[in-house]
Amino acid sequence: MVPIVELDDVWKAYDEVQALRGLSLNVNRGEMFGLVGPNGAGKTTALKIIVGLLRMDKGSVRVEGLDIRGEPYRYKRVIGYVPEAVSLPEYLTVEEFLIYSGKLREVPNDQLSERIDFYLHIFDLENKRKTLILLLSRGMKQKAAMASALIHDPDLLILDEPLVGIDPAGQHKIKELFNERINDGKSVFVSTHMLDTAERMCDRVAVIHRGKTVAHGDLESLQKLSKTGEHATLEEVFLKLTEEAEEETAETRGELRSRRRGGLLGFFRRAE
Amino acid sequence: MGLLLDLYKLKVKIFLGAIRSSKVSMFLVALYMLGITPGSIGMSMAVASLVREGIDLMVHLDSLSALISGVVAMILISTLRGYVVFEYEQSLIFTSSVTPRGFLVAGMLADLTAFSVFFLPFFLFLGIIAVSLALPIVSVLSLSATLLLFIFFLFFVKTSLSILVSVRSDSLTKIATGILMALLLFPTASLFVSFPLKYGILPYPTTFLAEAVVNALYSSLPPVQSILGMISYFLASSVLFLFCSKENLFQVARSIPFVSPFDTSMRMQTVKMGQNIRFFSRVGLGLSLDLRSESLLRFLMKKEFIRMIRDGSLFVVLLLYLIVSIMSAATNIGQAPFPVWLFILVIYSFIVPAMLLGNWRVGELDNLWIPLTSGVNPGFVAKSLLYDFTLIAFIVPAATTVVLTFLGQITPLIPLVLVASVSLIGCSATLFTMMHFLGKKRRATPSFMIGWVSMLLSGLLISPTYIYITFSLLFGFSAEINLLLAVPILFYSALVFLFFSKKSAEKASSVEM
Repeated sequence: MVPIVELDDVWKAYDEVQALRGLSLNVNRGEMFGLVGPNGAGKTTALKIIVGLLRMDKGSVRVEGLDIRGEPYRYKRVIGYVPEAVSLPEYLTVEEFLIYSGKLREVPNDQLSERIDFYLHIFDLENKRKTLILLLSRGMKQKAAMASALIHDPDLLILDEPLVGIDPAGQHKIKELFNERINDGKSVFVSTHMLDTAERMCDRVAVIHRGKTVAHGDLESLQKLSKTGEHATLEEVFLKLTEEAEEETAETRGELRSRRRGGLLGFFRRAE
Repeated sequence: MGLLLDLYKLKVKIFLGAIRSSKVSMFLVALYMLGITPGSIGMSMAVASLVREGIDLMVHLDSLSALISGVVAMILISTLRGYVVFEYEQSLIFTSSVTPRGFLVAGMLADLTAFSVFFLPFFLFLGIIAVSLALPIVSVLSLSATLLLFIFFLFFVKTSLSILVSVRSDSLTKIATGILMALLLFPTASLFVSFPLKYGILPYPTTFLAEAVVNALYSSLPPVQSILGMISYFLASSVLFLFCSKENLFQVARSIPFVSPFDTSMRMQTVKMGQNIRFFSRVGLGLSLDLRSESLLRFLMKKEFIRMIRDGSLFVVLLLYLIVSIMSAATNIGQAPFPVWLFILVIYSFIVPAMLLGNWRVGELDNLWIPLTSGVNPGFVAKSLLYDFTLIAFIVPAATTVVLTFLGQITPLIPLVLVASVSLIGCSATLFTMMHFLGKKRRATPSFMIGWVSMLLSGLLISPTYIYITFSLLFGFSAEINLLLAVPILFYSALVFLFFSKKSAEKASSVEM
């Protein structure tokens, strides 16, 4: 079976900072996949590359088997995306915003109308239908963004910290919605810091550190890999794996430094 | 008293400190001063020379009153949202032992201080007139006193009405304010048509101020009834202020984020944009995005049009041309006409695309992720923007031109060619510049800098149109020759438009967020 998302050796740098260093991972159809990692690991960068908000420097990304460089727009029709810092057109009402999102994704009018009613109900936004987005709370804006990501019934949902700012009842509904989608054979790809949620909800996770995958798989395989024992939580696994990765990086740096010093000493010795 | 003084100092420091905190803000203040000072000097010398030549400024009393009334009406509009304070005032001052009246008085003095700083060129304007016309000290003093009474009157009325709107929270005060504005503005009709009620015969405070200004220019004192009238208005507004300042406005005031003039940071621009949307969306919800079947291009254009209504961009464009129309009609530019109207068109046609796109950048840049992740080619989005801006930049001045043509003040061909050419070239060049500055490394560039670059580029590209118009005016081309020359000019403008439209679409496709 072809994975819905395939990242192979993806590299991305911002000026001096190397955000991704050969990131590789796959997201399968009908699974919820979690991307976890410390701050600055490259999670948001990876997601932005997949949805076409950033260009990668090297590597390849395929969505539904399509190379996103060769098909820079068409592949996005199957994706629904919510960024971490949601910015919405504040001059539109909630309903207008959902119409805008639906029209951009060419949802037929009759379906669009039904889905708007449905998601406004699901996200408790029915009484905010005619309210300007400007006047919504942060959590409500997040819900509106989530509704817009679902409006075209995408095969793949890509969400960057989807539950931040949403009240517990809203979080519960969203989790239920994710489960329903997974049962329907659709995929959800989330980046999150909430490791307990990731542990309970995700079929597989990838732990990334300094722009590359440290480990990926289900909890059991990660427990084995990290040698934390079969009762270890994802949090414990995560801490162990990132610690090891950090040590490895420090060692590599130390080695490089001593090599450089050695090089200089060698130069002076040769000079003598 | 000590607390009041501390409060006054705090407010002034926060206001001026916000300007001092950024180099760009200070640069803009310097630019404002440098830009407006020569204009003030030139204007004052022109007025002085007109008076010396014996031109009867009394005939312009109604126009001056109308202008002042317009300003007052604008100020009154701001009272409709109720009494607003900055967030820092609510958290820092309202929780202290300051009384509402103390807060209002300190605020008024702080506003006057800020007003004095930013209106220095205006004082320079008055000073030069006084010196060059050798006005007697009594005239200068009477003018200054009337001006001061008028400013206090305005402050008292504005503050009192805002408080009343907040405290009463019913629509009665808003309706009363609306009636007040209508009463203030309806004699403007006398400038256009034969209308019996002129400002000159009405006991309006704006008429009294206009009389004081005109009389002072002729070294005479304003009529006694004007002085008494102004004093009466001042006293009445003071009583209203004393009455309203008793209210505990701390409980009803609405807080808004602190905004400082000349702050060009994106955060500040976004805050200001939020305030605009809050205000203009009340009138702009009549038109809405719906499910009606239409092409995506038309849908996106409609969405942008709605944004321009709700964030006030369209209002500003309409206001600019409304002012131009009123000024043109009031001063009868038809008698010394054409270059003046063309000059105004050139200036505004330049400003409009830069302003429209500047507002788009502030309001929409962070929302670009929505179309960029939707699967729609971003070039398509750029095109819909361009068509919208070009239509507005063309239709509003073209409609003004048509109206003035019907009023018999201008011949329309050359202005229409100019408007079409400037909107085609100006909007496309500005959009291209804007897209160029959406690159990650250039995104922090302040909007006004981008505006300048785009205006420079537009100016260079529009020069063939200017050359054609200059020749047409110099040699007095006939309508046939004008028409014949307009065709290649419009063809050239369309080519530039198509070129930048394509380039902007390409740039949009490579935008990273």
